[in-house]
Amino acid sequence: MVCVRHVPLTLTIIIEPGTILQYDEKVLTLFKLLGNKRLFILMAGLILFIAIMGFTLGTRGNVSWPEKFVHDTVTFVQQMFYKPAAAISGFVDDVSNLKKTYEENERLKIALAHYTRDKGFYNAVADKNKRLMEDLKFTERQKQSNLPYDYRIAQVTSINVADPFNQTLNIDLGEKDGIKQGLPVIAVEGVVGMISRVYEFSSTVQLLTNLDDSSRSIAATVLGQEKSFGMIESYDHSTGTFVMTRIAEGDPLKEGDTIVSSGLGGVFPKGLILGTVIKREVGDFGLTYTASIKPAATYQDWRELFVVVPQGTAAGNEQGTP
Amino acid sequence: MNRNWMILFMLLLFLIEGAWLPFFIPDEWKVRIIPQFVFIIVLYHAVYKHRHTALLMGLGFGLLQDIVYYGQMLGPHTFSMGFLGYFIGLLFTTRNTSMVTMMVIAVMGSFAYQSIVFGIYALFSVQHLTFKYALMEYMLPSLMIQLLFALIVYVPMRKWFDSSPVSNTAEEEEV
Repeated sequence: MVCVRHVPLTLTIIIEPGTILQYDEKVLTLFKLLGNKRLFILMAGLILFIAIMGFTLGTRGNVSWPEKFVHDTVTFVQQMFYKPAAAISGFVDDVSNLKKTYEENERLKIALAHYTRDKGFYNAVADKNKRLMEDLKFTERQKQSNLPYDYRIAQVTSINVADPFNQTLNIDLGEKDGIKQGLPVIAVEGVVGMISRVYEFSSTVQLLTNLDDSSRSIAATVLGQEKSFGMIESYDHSTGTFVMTRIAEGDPLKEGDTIVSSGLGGVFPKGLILGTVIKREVGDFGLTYTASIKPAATYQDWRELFVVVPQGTAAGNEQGTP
Repeated sequence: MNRNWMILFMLLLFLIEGAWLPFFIPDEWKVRIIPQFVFIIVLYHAVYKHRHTALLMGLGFGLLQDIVYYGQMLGPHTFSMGFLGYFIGLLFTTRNTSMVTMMVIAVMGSFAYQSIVFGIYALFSVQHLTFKYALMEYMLPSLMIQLLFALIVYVPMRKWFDSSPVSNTAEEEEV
């Protein structure tokens, strides 16, 4: 405070003597308003909070028991509010969709016919694949990386609407149900997000719309053309699309392709639908290509979600938040 | 007793914010409208009750918000709600602030709140949006909703605070 007062003193001698009074008054009113003690407490609080934010940012081991207690209790109560609201909203939606039922039924019948036709072929290929894996002496871990996944159905209990940069929602599965940090969460249409924190009976899902340059990116590929490769790095808020980068020049990726996770990065298992390509263009340095991916999930009307749990040992990869 | 009812009311508001509001906001506005209704009640406490009450309520409910929706980090809401509750309580010490002034406080307070949260996330490089974009994209539409909510609860809140005696502590006189 002393130093601050001395600087304008020397300055005002050069300019004009009137300004010193003004400056001093300004400084005094600021200090009068906040007070020395208050200012000290404010600064201490600021430092404390920055420390807390820094410590709790990103990957953290287990959350402490007070957090677990508060989170479990609050989400349990919120679920009682959420369920009836979701039921009413769902009923209204269903009534308005009643007309489309016929068309949907047609479409589903065709899809079912396709599935029954492919089933025989799939079974033969799966058998052959299994036999070849035995012949080639795959280790248990290698076999497991090729296994299909278990889906645990989860009910949404509440959604964060009060923070644009921390879009999360809570689900009613927790540590007791074998949920681990970093497991992907999908809706019927595609990937929605990943588990960011796990509590005893509930967990928090961080949506992929939070994805930013600094966060861990997802290795992705084109469905049906697994030699294609790119990284989904961020979510563009202004266009509502994911940005997929590091696509090689000769890559077969084109507009309209379905993008799935490739499982190479270790964050996401392979084969989860992420979205469709709507644009492909030359990247920042002209060496690689960048694509805009329209998310498959709609990020609205949250009802049931599925947590993707690896089969066999329910051990999720210990990855951090996205 | 009175205060306990108030805390219960705010808790209920917080629960409803997460459980019911997602169904009321139209899908196209999901990213544009960020309701922070609990904060409005904190501002009412700062203006019509006492800054210390507002500080404690802000810290408490901010922490609740941070813990229940813990995605990135703990603290941004705790800090900004507590700080703004106290600071606005410090600026407006008269207990008979008019409705227009209260609405201005609600809008400016919400704007400051969103700016501080924006700044904290920018500081920890959780987000990289420009402030101008954020302002046009979600801050201004949200402020309208905040103002609307502040208007709706104005009469009930005034009645509530008028019915409960305000304790003028010794520290109040000092300011």
